[in-house]
Amino acid sequence: MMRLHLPWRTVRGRLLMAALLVEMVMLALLVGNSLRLLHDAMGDQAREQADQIAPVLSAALVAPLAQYDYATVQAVLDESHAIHGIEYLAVTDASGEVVATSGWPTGKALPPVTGDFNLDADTNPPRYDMALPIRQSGQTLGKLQFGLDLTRILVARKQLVTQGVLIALSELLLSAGLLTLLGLLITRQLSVLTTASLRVAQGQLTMEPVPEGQDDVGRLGAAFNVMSRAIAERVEQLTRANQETADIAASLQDRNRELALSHAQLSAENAIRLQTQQELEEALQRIGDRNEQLNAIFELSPDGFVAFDRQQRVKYANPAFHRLTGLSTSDVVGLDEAGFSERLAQACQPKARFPGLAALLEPPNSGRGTGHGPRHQIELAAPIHRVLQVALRESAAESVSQILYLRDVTHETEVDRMKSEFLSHAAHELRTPMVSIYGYTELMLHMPFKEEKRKEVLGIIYRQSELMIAIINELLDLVRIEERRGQDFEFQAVDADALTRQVVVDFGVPAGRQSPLMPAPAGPLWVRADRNKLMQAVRNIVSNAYKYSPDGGDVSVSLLQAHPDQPGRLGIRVRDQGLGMTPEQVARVFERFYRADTSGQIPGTGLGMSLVKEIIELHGGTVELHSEVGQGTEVTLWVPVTEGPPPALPMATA
Amino acid sequence: MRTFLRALALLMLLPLLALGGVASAAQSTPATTPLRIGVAPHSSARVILEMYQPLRLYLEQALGTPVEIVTAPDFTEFARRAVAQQYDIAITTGHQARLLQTDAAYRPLVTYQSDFKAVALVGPDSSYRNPQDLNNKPVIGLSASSLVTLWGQHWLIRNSVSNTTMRYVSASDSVGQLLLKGEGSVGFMSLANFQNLQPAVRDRLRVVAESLPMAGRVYLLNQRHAKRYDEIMAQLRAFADTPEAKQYFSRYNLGGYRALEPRELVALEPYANEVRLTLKQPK
Repeated sequence: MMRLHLPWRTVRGRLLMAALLVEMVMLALLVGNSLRLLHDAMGDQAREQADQIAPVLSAALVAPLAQYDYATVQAVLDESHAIHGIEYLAVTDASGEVVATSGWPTGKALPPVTGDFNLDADTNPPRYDMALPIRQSGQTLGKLQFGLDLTRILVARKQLVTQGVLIALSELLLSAGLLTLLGLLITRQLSVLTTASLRVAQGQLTMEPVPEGQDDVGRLGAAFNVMSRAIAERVEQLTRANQETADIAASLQDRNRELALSHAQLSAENAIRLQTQQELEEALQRIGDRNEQLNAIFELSPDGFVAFDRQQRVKYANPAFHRLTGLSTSDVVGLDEAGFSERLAQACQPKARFPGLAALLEPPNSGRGTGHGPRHQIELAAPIHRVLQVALRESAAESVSQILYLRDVTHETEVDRMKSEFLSHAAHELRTPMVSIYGYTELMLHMPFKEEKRKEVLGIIYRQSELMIAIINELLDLVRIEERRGQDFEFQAVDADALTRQVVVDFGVPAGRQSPLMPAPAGPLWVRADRNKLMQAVRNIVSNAYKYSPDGGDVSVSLLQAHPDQPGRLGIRVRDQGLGMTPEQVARVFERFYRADTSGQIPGTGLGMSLVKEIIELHGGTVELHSEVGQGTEVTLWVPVTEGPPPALPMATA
Repeated sequence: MRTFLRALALLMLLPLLALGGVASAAQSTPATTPLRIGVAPHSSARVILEMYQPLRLYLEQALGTPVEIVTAPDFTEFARRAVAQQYDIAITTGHQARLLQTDAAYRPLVTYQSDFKAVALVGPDSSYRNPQDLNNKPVIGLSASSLVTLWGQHWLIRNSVSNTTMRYVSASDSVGQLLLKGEGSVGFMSLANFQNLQPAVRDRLRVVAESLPMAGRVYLLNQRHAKRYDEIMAQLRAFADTPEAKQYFSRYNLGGYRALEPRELVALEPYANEVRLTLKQPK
């Protein structure tokens, strides 16, 4: 059932309406623009006219206004009012009072001047008001105001509007007729096509073909017939295709299930890979920490390390290597084995040169398999004398082939040397009396002696034995003191004056010698000391004073308080007038077993002054010694002073 | 008692109210009234306005009040307006100054240093040899009340010239033009105006008589401003020291301001009397 459509619901009707609407808009714009241009042109013209009139009138009014000749002013205005188009004129003086008008009622207020050109103002007739001051040489003499009649402009605009609207209406009617006719001619065949299209849309694919022809609409009909047949075929194809699509959809669902299964498997594998990666990262972290530790160990180690790469070139040398050998990292890194050995050998003393890396390798048939070869000692001459122990360790690492190891054994070597020297000295010193004892006892075993001679020989054996015991006692004292480092000392406040006097009194003065000279007691002088050890030290230096002044001479003992060079210490000074010593002897006097006497006439062990020095230094003091050959020797023991014990309270009496 | 107190309070307030009223009146009236300087029409109105603009601008700034320059259509009308007290300051010829001094109580202020003289001129084709040649001839002058015209008339009388016809014109230029055209046998103008004529006009004219020095333009102060006499006098002297005033004096050969001699205006009384008679005549 075909429906009838209203005209504006058809294409033809809408085209017609659109064309008419566009035409109306264009015509409205045309008329409106014409009115605007007219308005602007008339406004400009009015302003130009005003600008032409104003200066002329102003010039004519200057003199009469300056002369207060208002009659002349009025005459000028009346004459100007006769000009067509000027509705009124008025002149006010400098105070604003109206002095002359023409065309304007006397007494009526002048209209306000806005300067706007407005054709639609309420004034009747329409007017363009203008005012300007009348000035001469900077002096304002008054003001001229006049109004231009705009009636003619209004009439022209009205005519323009009327004629424009009439023309526009005629144009619209004519256009409507023409467009309707054209629409009918164009769309007659289209109506048939429209009907046929609606049927196709309703599913009637089997119908009579529409008329065809050679013009546009005829070709459109032919195309429509082809299209409707094609649509029928396409509908059938689509039906078949829908069935195939449904089959494909079912197949895709199966495929999706398979993919979901594969996805689950992949997720599980990914989880395993992720866990493996985490373990790997943790291992790398541990390796990094280990590297960091090793680097710190290498950097901080007091021992030198030099690492060689697989090409047997120096790859790394730690700071201790530079410190020990004076060879910087840049000096050795990159050198091959021979170059490095040569460089290190040059730094050594000739007697203990670096033997080269090859000499440090573990012999292949040693069978030990420790990875490092024999150890050697080398001695460096610079930067300071050092004794280094070097060894080489082979490495199984990829980047390091072997590591040279250097340890500073200077101190240990020196200690060994000193021990050997000490043992040699001690054995020598003990052998001397032992030889005498051995010889004399052998004589007494094999030879008969008279009683007097026997006593003499036994006396010698006794003295030599006494000397050996003294040596051994002093050695034991020295060893004990060194081992305990003063820990067995019983420090207390000791009156140095009383202690010294007791030593002097108890001292067995050699026959023919006078006791040591000592000044009168000055009261208690307290020092912090182990009483017995300090007495031993004082006794030693008093004994030395008598032994080294065999030709006699006074031995004096004195106490020194508040000496500026030894603040906080008290000095116990012993001076003799004996043999004295050379500066070289003074320099060695504290060495163990050193004896200034080379004649062998003065008994002694050579350990006394070493013992004195150890005791005093363990007290926190020092030993000062001055000596001059032939003049005597002065020894001062400086010991820290302390406060005395609190005084004992007096016994209470009953 | 209460009524008495109210009355007493009102009595105390009255002087205050009166003072307030006076003050407000004083504030409202003269604030916008301009000081009007009337200048005798010795030149055209446009030239006069231009000439006195420096003085106007200076006084406006110095006195703090608007000042306007006005003139009149002719000397007689100027004198009439001046006598009618229309000007606060009048600048006019010596004989009118004398008239305003005696008849309108204006007080003279200053005059110009340059001498003011009137001259009698003849045209290039004139056969003039002595004043008697002017008998029965037309004579051209400015306004009947102008000093040069009155001097000229007195000069004609002193020289027994008789039966002349006077023609009055508005400006010195016109006097010169008419003499060149031969429309007058003799004409009168000030020596300064003669010197300011266009060279083409001035060089063709011949001076046949010259007056003694007279007070030219005199500044006078209206009596209603008597209390401000010293102030205005001081401002005029101050103005004379400005570059604008010096240019003005130089341009118009005026030399500057000077005080009037004690009896300088009295000497012009005969001419003043002529003006007085003219004013008495109906318009």
